[in-house]
Amino acid sequence: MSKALISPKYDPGKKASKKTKTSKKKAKAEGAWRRVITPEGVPVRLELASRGDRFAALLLDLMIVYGLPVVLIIAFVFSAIWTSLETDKGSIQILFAVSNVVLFLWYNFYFTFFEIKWQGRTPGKRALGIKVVDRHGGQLRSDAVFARNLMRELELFLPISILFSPFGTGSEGFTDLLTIIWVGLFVCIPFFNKDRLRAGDMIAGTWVVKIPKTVLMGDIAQESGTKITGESLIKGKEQKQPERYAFTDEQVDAYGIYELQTLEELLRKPAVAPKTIKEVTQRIKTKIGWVEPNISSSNYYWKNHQGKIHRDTEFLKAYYAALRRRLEAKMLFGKRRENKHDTK
Amino acid sequence: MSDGVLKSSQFRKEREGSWKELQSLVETIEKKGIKALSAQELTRLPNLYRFTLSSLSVARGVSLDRNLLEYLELLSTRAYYCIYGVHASFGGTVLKFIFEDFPIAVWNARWRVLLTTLIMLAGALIAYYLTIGNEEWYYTMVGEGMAGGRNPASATEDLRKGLYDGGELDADDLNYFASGLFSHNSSVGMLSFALGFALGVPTFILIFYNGLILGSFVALYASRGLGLDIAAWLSIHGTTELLAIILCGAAGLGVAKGIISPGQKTRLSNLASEGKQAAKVVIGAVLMLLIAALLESFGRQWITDITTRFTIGGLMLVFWLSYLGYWGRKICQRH
Repeated sequence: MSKALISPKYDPGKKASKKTKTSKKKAKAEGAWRRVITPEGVPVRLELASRGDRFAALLLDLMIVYGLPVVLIIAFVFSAIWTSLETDKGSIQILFAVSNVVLFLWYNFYFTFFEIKWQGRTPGKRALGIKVVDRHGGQLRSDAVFARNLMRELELFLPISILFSPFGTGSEGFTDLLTIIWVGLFVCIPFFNKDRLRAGDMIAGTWVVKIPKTVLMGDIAQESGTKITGESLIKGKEQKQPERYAFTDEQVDAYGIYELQTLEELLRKPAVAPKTIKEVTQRIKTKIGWVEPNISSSNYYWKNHQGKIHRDTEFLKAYYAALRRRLEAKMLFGKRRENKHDTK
Repeated sequence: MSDGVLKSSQFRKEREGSWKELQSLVETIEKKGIKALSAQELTRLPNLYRFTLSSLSVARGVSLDRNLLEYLELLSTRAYYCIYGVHASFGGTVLKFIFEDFPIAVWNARWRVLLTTLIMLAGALIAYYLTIGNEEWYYTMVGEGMAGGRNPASATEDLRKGLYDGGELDADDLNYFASGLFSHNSSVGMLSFALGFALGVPTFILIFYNGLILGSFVALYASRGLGLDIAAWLSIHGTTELLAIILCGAAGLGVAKGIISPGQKTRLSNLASEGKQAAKVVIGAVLMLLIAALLESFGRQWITDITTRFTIGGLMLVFWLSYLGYWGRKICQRH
């Protein structure tokens, strides 16, 4: 993260190799991120749900699918209705017939029902904060939900029934083994493609994504009241505390967008080691050739360590604001300075 | 420029309220569903969503605050999930399905349906001639459990009785019988769809095997001079049930076709569109199986007259052909 600011020496000869290394790292970190164009034509990012999350959601759902009927039946058998019916053969049979159909519908359409009703979420998915969406950015339609869940017959219920059926011996056992391997292939499909699609997702054109957490943090540039331009350097010397920092054009041209956002990340972190702050501040000051404008007025901060950290953070915030203003102004004129080596 | 406030900060300050409003709406929807919103909030939702999307587009051009960009992007994604989720009422979906989707899907798959029918017929014919020639084949074709005591060792009289003995059963037994039949047949149907994913070969085998059982079964009765009786016994529900099984098989072949010959599109996207069509066929077939199970347990066990059995079976066949064939074609042309 703050490597770019901290890296002690930079060797231009190593540029190419370093770049591929970082981009590879980036690709790995962004492995679960996909870009989708909304119907409005704006590209947005989404994060695929991890296989672990999906498996946990499935386990939860299976517990509900198989557990709830058992609980209900046990509760029913011990209830008063059952004792009053016990002698009446006719109504018991009707009850059996009805519950047979209800159970069938429950087992086979549990996933479908909830995914339609709760916008692509079953109770398990809801608990894990994941959801089914259309792979091409369109609307998730009910036929897609039906398709992806009908496939569970092969991917889920067949393996479960094989697992709980007695294992044969001899040639029968061999056939059973082949069946297990064959069915196992379908179960393992999510591990063999980068989009973590299971067979049902392939059939229905869907994938499962994480519902993102959105937190809007404060604006760092607003927290520090600074002025920067070439002339304000001289003025800044006379100015009071909040405007202590003023930077020349050369000083704010030292870094690019990548460094700016790395600095942002550092400033937004809830707890950073004082050492890191100190190092980063020192590095920036060296790089831009910073001269402390008025040491005597800031003597107060030197009194204790805490004050020093506070002072460094103040400096970093001010520099962040100045750098951002500079880079944003450039961007408005169509010049994106990606990083400090970008000298367009 | 040097008035102390960054342009991007100004931009953010002016719009922040609307973003927060959208976020709270989205959170409500995620927790309690879209119905929890008032009419006023509901009309605000798409506006706020588009506003946030346009903010995102602008922010990408003017702001370098990464947290802000990320926030806008993820908020847009989150709102987009809410707006482009499933938005169908269950009842409306069912009606549209019965009158449009299902007949259209079947009509579009008509050649596959024909192919599946031929596979099943081929199985039935082979088994019929084999069993007529040598009754031992019956044991190979029809499993012990499936036969339910009806095998070549049974006396002709017992077999005949089996076809007409339903009259003694009362409604309660039949209820149970019907529901058991329904769940068994539907599972088989859905499985034959899902098996299409394995390039359709297992679907092919399943359908062929069903044909074998049928042919063998008919042959057993026919050899005892009960040919007409078994045909009537089968026809009352068989026209519906066999058609449904055939449709499931055809759906499985549709999925297989999606994988094997993707045509212009990529394999995955073609599979996605074929799969959705095939799923419609299967859902319709499950409904048909429900009807078939009712016919089988009530109609077949109570109605023991050959002519009436043929009439009901024939009428059902005519109904399905006109519903799926004629109506499906008509709807298809209209679209």
